Amino acid sequence: MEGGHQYCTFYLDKTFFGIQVDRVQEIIRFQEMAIVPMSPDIVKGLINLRGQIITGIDLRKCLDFNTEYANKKPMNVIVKSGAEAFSLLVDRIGDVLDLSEDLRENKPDTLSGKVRDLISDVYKLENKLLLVLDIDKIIDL
Amino acid sequence: MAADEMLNEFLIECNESLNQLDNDLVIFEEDPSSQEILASIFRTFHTIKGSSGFLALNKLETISHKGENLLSLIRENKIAVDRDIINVLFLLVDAIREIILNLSNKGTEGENNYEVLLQKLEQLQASEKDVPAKIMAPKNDEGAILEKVDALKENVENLSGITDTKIRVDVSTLDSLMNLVGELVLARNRIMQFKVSEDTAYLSSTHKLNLVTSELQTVIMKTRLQEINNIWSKFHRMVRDLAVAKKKSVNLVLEGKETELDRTIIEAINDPLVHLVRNSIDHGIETPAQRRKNGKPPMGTLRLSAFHEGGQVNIEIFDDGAGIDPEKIKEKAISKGIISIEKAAQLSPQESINLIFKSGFSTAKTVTNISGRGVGMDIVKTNIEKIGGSIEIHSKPGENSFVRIKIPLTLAIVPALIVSSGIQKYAIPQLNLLELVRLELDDNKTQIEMVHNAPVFRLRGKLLQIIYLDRIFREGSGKNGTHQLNGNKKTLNIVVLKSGNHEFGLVVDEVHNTQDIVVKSLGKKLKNINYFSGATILGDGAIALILDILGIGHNNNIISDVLHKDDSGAKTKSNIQKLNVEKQTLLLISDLMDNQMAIPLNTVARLEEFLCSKIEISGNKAFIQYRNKILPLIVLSNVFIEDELKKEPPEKFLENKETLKVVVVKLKSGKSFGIIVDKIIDILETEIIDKGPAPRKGVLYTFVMKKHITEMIDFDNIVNKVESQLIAIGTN
Repeated sequence: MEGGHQYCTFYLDKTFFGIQVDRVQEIIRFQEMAIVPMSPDIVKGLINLRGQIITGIDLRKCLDFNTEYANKKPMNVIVKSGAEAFSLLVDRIGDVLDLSEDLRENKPDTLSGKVRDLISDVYKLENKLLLVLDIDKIIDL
Repeated sequence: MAADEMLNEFLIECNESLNQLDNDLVIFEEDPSSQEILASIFRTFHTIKGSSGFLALNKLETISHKGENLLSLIRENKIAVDRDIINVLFLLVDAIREIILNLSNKGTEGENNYEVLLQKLEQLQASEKDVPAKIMAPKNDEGAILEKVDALKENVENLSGITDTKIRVDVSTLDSLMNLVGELVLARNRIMQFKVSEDTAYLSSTHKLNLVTSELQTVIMKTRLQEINNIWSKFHRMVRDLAVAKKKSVNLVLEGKETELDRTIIEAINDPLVHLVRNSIDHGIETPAQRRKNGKPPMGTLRLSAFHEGGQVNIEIFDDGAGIDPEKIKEKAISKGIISIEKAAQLSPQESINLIFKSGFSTAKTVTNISGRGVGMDIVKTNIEKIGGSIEIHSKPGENSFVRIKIPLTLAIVPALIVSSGIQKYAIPQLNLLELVRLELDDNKTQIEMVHNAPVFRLRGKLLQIIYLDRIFREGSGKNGTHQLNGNKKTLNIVVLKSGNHEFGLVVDEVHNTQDIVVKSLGKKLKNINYFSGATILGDGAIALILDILGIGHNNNIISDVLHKDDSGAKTKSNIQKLNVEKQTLLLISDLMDNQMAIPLNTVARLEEFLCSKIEISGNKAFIQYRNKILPLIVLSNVFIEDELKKEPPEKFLENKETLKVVVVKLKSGKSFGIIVDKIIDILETEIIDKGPAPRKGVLYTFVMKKHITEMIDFDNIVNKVESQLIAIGTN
């Protein structure tokens, strides 16, 4: 269980999220995005990553966050799902955390809505909680 | 892991060997005496046996071992080669192929034990003794051994030759290489923009960078090209099997095997080609008996040729079989309800042949497993058009049929027009582009008109349906702010597009340039939007979506016959009407007597306005010196008045005028003359359906255009008249 407990973390507003680090390809600064008309809500646009065209996913839309307070220049967390790469748009990037198993809890049963499916685990940190996201489910939304 | 890799290598190699075996066997069947081919077949079996033994693939080893034994008996002339043996060898290849397929799909050799096949092999080998020793002079052992050593040597040499010049590269590696080169091109473009330094060293190094990048791009492109032979080589076996099954005799000729195509295109045309080849053998080429009766050589010829022409690849499929009988096609189309009897009667032979591209058409009288499933040529056509190609069929009934496919060299790079709507840029493939129309909105010229709520535009007299790109995108996506309608635009850009048989106009905000774009596919979240066929990266690094014209047409109900097959009958009807009545482009004029007349535009050389003072009158006829020649000017209403005295003198037309409008007509014979007209009304493309009788000589027929009776001018008649009158004057 070595690499499985390392998480790449980021924020949406003040909520702290994490993704398994081995799913993350790279993190890049804000990129101009090409808008795709008629696209699903959660698709924010397309970015040009060194000649590769990557779909940018609006994580706020996915997780029912208010899109009005979004960072105007979101960071891109490039993740791999299947053979394709996606960019998750987040407000701020945190550290890569190495977390031990005893900090892990199952998600609360009272968690409801579509968000319930997207969060896989919860970690108890000193002064906050880290919500671990299931990337594949987000992309399949 | 290493074992897996070895197995993979082996599978790839085997696949190639099997194709080679197929081809070799076909040649061997024709010429069983060829020791060279036999040696090659033997070697291939031997290699497969060796590798499969090494990888512990028992079934494969047994089968290839038995095959090798049989072959060595043939080599030693201990058994004679006959149809049976060839067939068993083909079956062996099929068995090996099946095992290979199982291995690559399931990782096992499969359940089949191939007992029947092995028994058959045993039997054949046992028949060894039956061969009379007299006929097959046994070779001495020494010779056989020497030959084996030679074969081995050759094998080794071949191997080293291959490793020296070729390596296997994964396609994905090539693709990413291509991406990187694309990125390099962009970086180069940016560097070239910095004209910061006049330093010659700097300039020469950027120049060098420029050159190297371009060259690199070309070379990378080239690595993606494959010879068409990659798919053609499989046809030998297919044609042979089909010919045997249909008891026909076919000679397959391949021309231009080395013609190169992008691998994506090669994959896309494989199925259509297979279908066409099957058609040729199944429906085209007759049985030897039939051919003899028709005075043809008993062996039919099927010729595939490929060549480059004008940036495209042409593939031609020719067979000297029975050809396509337009009458039969018509009957079939009528019985299938594709067209009505009346319409069918009006079709030309070529138009009738084209009916086989209609959906629901299959010419096979009975459905066979070789070709003909009711889906047929329409699928072939759709598949070829999907990759931007076109297909045409010609046939001389009883003699031959001929199919020509034209396809682009590559799908990866297409020429496109860049337009913008809102802040976003879009690419429109040139393939769909007909013309660009720019409308000035502030004057009184033709505008966009409304048919209830559907905007249309009169383009040369025809109504063109209009789609506003910004509107469909604004309504369709909740993403505000990007596609604001600009209320007071001074101009309107209409891109006239064509998809299949349909035309429509797409209104965009701005039209930029045309450029070659590298097509990239969209991710899975965006695959389902049928407004876009992909995306591309422009020179400045921005992303432009590639518009899917067919999709946009569908979504706006313009192109509906593909989706709704039910009303295909009605659609076909109107299409055929179009086929039947040829479109003409006409110049509409009004003559000095205020009659509306039409002149076919293809006879009109120029429209001129001459000063009356330049017109010279000689013997009651008007002339002008025009481009160093004497151009007779005629008044239409005068030409057909027989009596010279009743004609209006030309001076009369010059009264009170400063200039004369003249249509300069140039006929096929090369003769020119000018027609004096009062007004030039319009140029329009039209189909004349209702023709009225001609009221006077010099008029072919009349028709109604723009609410007026219009006379179609009969030029042959006029030329005769004018010339005879001129000559008459001359002799007088």
